[in-house]
Amino acid sequence: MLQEVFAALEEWANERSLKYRNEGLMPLGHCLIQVVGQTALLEAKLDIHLAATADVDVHQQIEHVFRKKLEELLQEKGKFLDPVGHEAWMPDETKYKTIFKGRYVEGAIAEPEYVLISKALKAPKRNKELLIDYLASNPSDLFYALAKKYKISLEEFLK
Amino acid sequence: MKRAELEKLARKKAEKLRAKFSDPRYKKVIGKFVAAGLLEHNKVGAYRGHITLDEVIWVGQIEPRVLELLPAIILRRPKLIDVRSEIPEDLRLLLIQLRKGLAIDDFRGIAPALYLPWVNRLGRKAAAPSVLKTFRFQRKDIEKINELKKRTGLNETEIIRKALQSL
Repeated sequence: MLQEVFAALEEWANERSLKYRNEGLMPLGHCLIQVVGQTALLEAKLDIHLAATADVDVHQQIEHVFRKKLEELLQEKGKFLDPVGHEAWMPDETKYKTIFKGRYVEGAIAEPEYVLISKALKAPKRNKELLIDYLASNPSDLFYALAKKYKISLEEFLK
Repeated sequence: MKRAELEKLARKKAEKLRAKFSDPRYKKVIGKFVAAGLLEHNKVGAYRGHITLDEVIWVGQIEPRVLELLPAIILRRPKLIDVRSEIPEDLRLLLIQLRKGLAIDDFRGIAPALYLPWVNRLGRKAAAPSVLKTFRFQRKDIEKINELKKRTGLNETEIIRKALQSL
């Protein structure tokens, strides 16, 4: 779903920039969209039970003109861009996987370990079942290292 | 606790959890929300049958995102859930607050910031909604729009709409 949206955004940015150039105006700049939250987990295709509402969380602020078009494209897919998604806490060292790269638009999803650490630290109650399921599915060394760094007591989820 | 021990305990807990994921109530409720475009799930497909409020509340204990959506569904899409059974007191009070625009309390651990946006989103008209468009105008165009705003008392959108109609 996200790749389709990013591709449509790229197409729009191409057309818009061409029009601006023809009018002697500045073309659009580069737009990096970093998706976090449940949408990023769903895209990562983990073997755990995952439900996500129609919210899409984008980590950092994106330029207004791109944001508005992104909202419109997501709505066509029945999704909503979370207006406060950029306020969500993510570890400083979060790594993102690029899933679309165009001339104007680059779309990426946060690697699942960083999303899960964010959930474990900031919304443990809401994500308890999700984390139990993940802990039972042979978590990566990276997940344990991040849990240690951010002083997350994983035992708490198993009480 | 050591990593191996932790994972062993997690597998034990997850077994119980997976039994709940296999429960018909879980599959029905999540499936119904998936069919309505309210949820996406990587293991449960769409279900178009009948679900009850009791089933939704039971599933909400396992998947809190269902509880985030519940107040908005009862207000905006009541046909989605059979609410003939008695509405729990906390939900009944929340619905009263929502109708008055006064909801400030958590609902079963769900903060208003999580359940309130759905009340507006599900309330949007599906047919022909207005669409946001961005245009780049030159200074003289902006001056003209401002002049028309003063002269006619219309807002910018209405001025542009009228101009389009006259073409």
